[in-house]
Amino acid sequence: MSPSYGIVLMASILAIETSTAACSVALSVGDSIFSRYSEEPRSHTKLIMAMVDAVLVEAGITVPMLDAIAVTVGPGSFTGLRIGFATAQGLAFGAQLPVIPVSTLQVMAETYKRKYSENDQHPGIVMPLLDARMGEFNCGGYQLNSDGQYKSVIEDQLLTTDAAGQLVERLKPQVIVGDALALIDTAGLQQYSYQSLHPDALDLLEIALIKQARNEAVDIGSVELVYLRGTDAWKKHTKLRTV
Amino acid sequence: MLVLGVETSCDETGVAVYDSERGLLAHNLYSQVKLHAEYGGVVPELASRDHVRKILPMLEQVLDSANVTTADLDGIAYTAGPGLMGALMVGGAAATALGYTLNIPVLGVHHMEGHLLAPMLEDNPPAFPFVALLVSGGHTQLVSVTAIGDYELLGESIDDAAGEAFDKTAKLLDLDYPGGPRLAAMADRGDIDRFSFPRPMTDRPGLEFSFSGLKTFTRNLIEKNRGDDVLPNEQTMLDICAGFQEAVVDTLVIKCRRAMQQTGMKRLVIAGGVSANRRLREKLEVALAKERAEVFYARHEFCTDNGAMIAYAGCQRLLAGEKNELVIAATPRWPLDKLTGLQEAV
Repeated sequence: MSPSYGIVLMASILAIETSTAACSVALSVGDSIFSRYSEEPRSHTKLIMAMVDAVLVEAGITVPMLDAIAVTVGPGSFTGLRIGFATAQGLAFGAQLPVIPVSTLQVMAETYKRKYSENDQHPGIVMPLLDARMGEFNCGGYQLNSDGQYKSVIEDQLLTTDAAGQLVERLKPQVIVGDALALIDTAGLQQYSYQSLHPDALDLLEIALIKQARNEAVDIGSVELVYLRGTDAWKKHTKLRTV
Repeated sequence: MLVLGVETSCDETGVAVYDSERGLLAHNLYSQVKLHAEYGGVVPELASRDHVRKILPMLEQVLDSANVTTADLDGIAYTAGPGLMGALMVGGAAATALGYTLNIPVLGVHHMEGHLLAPMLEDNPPAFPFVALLVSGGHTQLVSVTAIGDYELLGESIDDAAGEAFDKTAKLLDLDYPGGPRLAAMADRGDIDRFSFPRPMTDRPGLEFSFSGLKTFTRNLIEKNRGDDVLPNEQTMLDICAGFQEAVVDTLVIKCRRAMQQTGMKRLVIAGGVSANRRLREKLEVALAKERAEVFYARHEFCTDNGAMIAYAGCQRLLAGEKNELVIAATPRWPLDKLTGLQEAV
């Protein structure tokens, strides 16, 4: 099933998504979309540039012919995020391209819409969650607005299992998506519908095309990765060890 | 051939532009040492985060300083290992994507090969063959070098690396991170004869090193000489530093001399962070003169991690036609003698 994009001649955008166990790229050129997706674990360093090359070759273009690079900037796996972002840095620097940074959680909401939401009658809040380990979860809340775009109803945030459970109870989402089985079990959230999924570059591309049309591409030098977990985590760790 | 070098294997972001005809055109280094100081050592996650932040501004600066643009580059070399996995990936991904965009070859380089070739950037470079002493916080190795890529391990430390022994001993003396260079500076003001440290493994044949015993010896010395305070008085501290450094240096010198005799080679290259140690250089010069051998080392700033050595080493291999496919190479553990020579690779 190919996604339906409302724009006839699209900007040429290369989208790179490596923030979870999945690795994917998508490319828009003219009226065509090209994409690659893999869930092969711990293979991002092997796959990402081969995928970039594959879609560009298939489309018959090269990096300097692009209008922009889209990249997810977190939250997510720290190493995964950096592989995608450093790749985007190399591409953007080499061809002097602007970038479109997008939240991983927003992309997950979009992936849910494309792949799983066909039967939804009254779309409510979609809550993308990612297990951040150490008893914490990256949490977002997204809702479709009148022009069919997801808008965040809360800021993407890192919460403890308890606080994440409370947030779910407060937002009462129509669906929880992502990687949250541990939370659902621990916090007793089985009454909520849940869809396991990984973010997909196809959906990053969808968001990026709209942002590009609104001139929201920026210089990559101004973009910071959104880890959510700050550096204090390591300070505590160090202190515990030395006591 | 104009080559960009990128080094992100640990806590320093290094970039450089090297030309096979004109030599080193520019280099740029950012050290994260202050960032890690409050943690008492390198925190891999923080190192990786900082590489991401620094790499593009540093690339821009170094190309500017070299007065070239990305379009002038003929190849890119980056450190592919050994080092911290997450940190290696940052430089590897950026370099691979940049090379792909510019349609030029990209090559992952061995960090220690970079170090051992760093003296080639100096005005009086060593000719092959030579013995190399690689001596840093992570390595203490004697290597026979007959050509680029033809490396035979002659001996190495069976426990701590020499630089690691400096850092760990500095911690015992409560010196701020990074303690090794501080300890060496204090040693210069101490009495080398007051405390008689052992010279580990010098009384038996072979080219192996062991430095962990010196740390224990120091711990006992501190205990014996401390009086009512936690640490001994200042002069005693300086004398302990001097005795410790002298023991490490003598051990290295004895084994280097033995390696020269064993191989019959007449040139010694010392490389890596500890090769900047003033006392080590002094004593090696004297000892090797007796062997009618010469000592070579890089300028101070190229003894520690830097992009210039990666640009140089990468350039030699890129010239021979080596390159990586579209894979970001990051190999945290990578023995130096697994490398192949230039001819074998072509």
